[in-house]
Amino acid sequence: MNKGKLQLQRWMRRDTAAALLFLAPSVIGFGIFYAIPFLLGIYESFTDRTMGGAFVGLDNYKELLDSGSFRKAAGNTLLFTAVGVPLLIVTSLGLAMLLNRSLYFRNGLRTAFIIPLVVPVASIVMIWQIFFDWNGTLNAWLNALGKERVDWLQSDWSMGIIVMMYVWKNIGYNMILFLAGLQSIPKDYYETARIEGAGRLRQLFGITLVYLTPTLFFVVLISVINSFKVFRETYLLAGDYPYDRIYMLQHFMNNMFFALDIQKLTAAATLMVGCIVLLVSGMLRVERRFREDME
Amino acid sequence: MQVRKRWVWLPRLALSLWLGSLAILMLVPILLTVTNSLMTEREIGLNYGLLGQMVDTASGGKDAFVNLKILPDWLSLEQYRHVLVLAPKFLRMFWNSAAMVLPIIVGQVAVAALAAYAFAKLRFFGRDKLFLVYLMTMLMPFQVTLVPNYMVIDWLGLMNSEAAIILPGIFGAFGVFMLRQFMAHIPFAYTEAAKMDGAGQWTIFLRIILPLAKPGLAALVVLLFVDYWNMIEQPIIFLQEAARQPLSLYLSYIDKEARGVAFAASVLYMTPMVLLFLYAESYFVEGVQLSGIKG
Amino acid sequence: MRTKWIGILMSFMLIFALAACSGSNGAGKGGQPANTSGNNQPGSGNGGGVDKPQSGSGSSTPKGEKKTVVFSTFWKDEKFAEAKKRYEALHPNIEIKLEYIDTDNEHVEADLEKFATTTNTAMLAGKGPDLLEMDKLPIDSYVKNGLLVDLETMIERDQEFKRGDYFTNILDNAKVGGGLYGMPLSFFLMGFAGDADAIAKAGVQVDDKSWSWADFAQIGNKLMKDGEFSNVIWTTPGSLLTMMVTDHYASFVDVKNKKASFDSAAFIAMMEQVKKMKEDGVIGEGRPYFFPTQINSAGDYVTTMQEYLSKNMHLYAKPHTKETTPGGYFRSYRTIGLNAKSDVKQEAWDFIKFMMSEEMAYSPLSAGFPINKNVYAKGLEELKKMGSVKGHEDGALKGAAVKVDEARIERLNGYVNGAIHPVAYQSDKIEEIVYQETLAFFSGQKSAEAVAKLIQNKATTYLNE
Repeated sequence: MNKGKLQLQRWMRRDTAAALLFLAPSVIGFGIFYAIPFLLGIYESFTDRTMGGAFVGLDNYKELLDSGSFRKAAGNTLLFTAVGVPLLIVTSLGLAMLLNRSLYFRNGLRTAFIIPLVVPVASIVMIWQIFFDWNGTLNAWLNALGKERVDWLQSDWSMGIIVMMYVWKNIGYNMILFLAGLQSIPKDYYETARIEGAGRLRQLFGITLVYLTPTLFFVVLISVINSFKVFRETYLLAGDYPYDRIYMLQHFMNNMFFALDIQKLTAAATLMVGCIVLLVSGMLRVERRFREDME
Repeated sequence: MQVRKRWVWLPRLALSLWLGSLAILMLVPILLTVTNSLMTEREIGLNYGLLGQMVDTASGGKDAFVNLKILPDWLSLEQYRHVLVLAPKFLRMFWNSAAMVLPIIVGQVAVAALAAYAFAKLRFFGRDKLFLVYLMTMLMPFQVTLVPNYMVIDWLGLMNSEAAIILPGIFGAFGVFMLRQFMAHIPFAYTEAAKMDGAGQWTIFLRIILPLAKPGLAALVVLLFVDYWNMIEQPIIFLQEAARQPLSLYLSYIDKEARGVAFAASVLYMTPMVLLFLYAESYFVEGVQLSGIKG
Repeated sequence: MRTKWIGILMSFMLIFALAACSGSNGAGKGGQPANTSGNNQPGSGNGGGVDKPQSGSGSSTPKGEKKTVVFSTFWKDEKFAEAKKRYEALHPNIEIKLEYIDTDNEHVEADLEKFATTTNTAMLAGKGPDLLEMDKLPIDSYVKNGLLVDLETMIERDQEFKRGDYFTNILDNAKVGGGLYGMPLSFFLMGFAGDADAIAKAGVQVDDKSWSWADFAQIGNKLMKDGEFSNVIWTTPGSLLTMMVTDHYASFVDVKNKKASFDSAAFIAMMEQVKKMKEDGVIGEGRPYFFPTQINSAGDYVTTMQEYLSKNMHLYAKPHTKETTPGGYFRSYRTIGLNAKSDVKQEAWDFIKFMMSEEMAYSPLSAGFPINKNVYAKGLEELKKMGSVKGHEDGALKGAAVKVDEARIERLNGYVNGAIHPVAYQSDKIEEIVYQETLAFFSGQKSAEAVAKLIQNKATTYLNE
């Protein structure tokens, strides 16, 4: 027992030296270009003025929480994330698994689902506009059916439309990750399981999902990050003050940036990051348990 | 057994057809982009001129709709001519993009692979905390880090040079995070076995981990390409000189006046991403055989 | 190049290690630049003589030391290029570096966004150009963040500066947040060009010192009834409504309590009223009595007024609330701000003064009335000498020349000296929202209530941010 512990310590020490070498290039650059700006950003949220203001504690946060628009934006963002992210993940994981089986035209199908990823914002925005504009195609169809027009992006449909745009664009992104993740699961595991008589479902839950956990963790976080990016499309389609339902944190923060209200901006961002980090550390804990199982 | 084999094509065909129809739905915006890129600017103007307009109901506003056309009246390469021949800016920006994105990919893959190995397979003090820091920076909205980033870039004297884009690109946390997740798949048994044979960390990294992480590496290259090909904020701030700006800025925002050529520009814009994807696809959809290495 | 890089990285590692303990504070200090202006201009780094109360001419700096003043504008502007050339010829130790966005018609909106993002970022980082053209930038926010110098402090210290040389009605009213944070190099006149003869003929009295929108509506009705022209005002319902909202801002927007009341009956009534004006022909493009207009220059004044095809056009102040002091409206043009973090404030101020001075070439035909009274007067002399001004080729005059007459110029003097109400260069967010959303109402596509509700929601969001 004692001997084992000693050995572990030695392992640790050996790993630390190697880890330093492996990490050095990344940590240096990361520190300069990401960690410092990140810390400065958080620091700003506690000061009263941009760059070199006095420390004011939580004043900015108080002011932020007093802002009705911030609360609205936070609520909308939460709703969007709570609906959009799970929907996206389930869809893309399902598709990735289906497309991992033997199908006719499998390569073509795969490409079709992934390709929306590469379409530039400008042309996507134009296409969506053609469909959802007041004079757009959807309204033309409604009109043909003898129905009233709907101002799609200024109605309660808007949130659904944004979710659809988000899922459409990001299915490919996640599928690439899931496909790569699925491929990384050694085929031998499935063979062993089959020999042991495990059924399809057992294989799915016992092997696929278990070994996909790290990928899944990654995909969840990236999906959240990509959900911020749908802002660009929303912004180009509906402007900086869109319909109430789709006024998100990104709108709030963008408007704060252009109004040079860096205090509220940084406070809002810090709060948001804080919330996601809580979620992330929960996932990290789950993942750690999984890794210990594997070891 | 015989019966099952004979009828196996039926569910497969059904699934393929179902996925195929879904795929067509996914492809609509892209098909529209491609076919519309073959229209003349005049036709685009006629079809979509009503976007964002409010036509007076007294003068026919009730029936004012855009005219969504799948096929152009006649095929024309006018848009392409406009973009490629009349606006040499486009080609220059295309080249600028390539000259920034390629070093970023090569750099980030190399730096991230090293760091990811440390995070995934080495044990050292504060590993998970440091990793969490990497994750947190990814969550911070760009508006917050813009100003601190500006200070750092200015301090390093990189303003208005491609290095201001490339260096931060190389040290991005995305690759570290992603590869760590893919390396986490690889069972410890493999590395332990190599250690027994006296292999050092470097050898294990090169000979065992990297080959096994191939699907992840391929996926990373594709996703990095997409992310950086589409970057908008960083070049806006750090490359004021128009001659240095990447293509993404050309298409980040389409003024009404530029609508006529947006589709052709988009098609040209996405071509490199599509080609890269088709090339890399086989890497992340081909399974990894662990058994070969194990022996 | 590469060795330089490794050097920078190595030294940075060292700093990073040192700064790590003191946390972000240390990093923040490290971030203080040795250079200003974000452009690696050699030699711009030495502290400028901001606090030295000198009479502010660039030549007072030690010889041989070249200083650079970076001046950033959105458009490429020949006027500034000319100013640079002349100024540098007079001050060989100063370099004026002009920066602008290389834009074209197809990308103006995109480039505007880009310009704002870049400039905001640089300014907030404590860098940025020494001088900025504020026309396209949110000057209020810049002032709130202390990014600009109150030019009054520069004026106070500067014995050479004679206030009387300039249009003080403009200088005094171009203030933002209690200080002169942007120097308007020139301005436009805003108002309603009105056909005084036709109005008199219809038997209507217009007192533009105190006419409210209600008066305007009344006068409009009377003109429609008794006058011979087909319309009262040449505009769109959206623009008219926006003007009315701007004037009655307080009744729809309670900035202090962050409340909007665009869903009120009063606002809906106002919308309906404007729509009715359109339907009745009060608003129309036939032959109206009034044209909302912006007079760009003395030459423009001569032709524009004539372009409405009436001999006796007057410039009226637009209707306003009773509380408003009587006076005309102006819009500042080429407003220059001075970066509070600039190291060459004195030099930059000197350049601003130069651009305001008589040494600048000025043509009475180029855009903007000059802030300098002498320059303006000289321009008028020149205009009189020219005798006539050619009208716009594509305008109603089809390029025909218009005679410059004395009485007309005399009136212009009155307008120029009497303009005291600033009209913002960019419209306010709420005005923008009102204008955009009501388009659907005035075109008959949406109901007043639906539009009012949208405006109310957006305005509330804006006010509560």
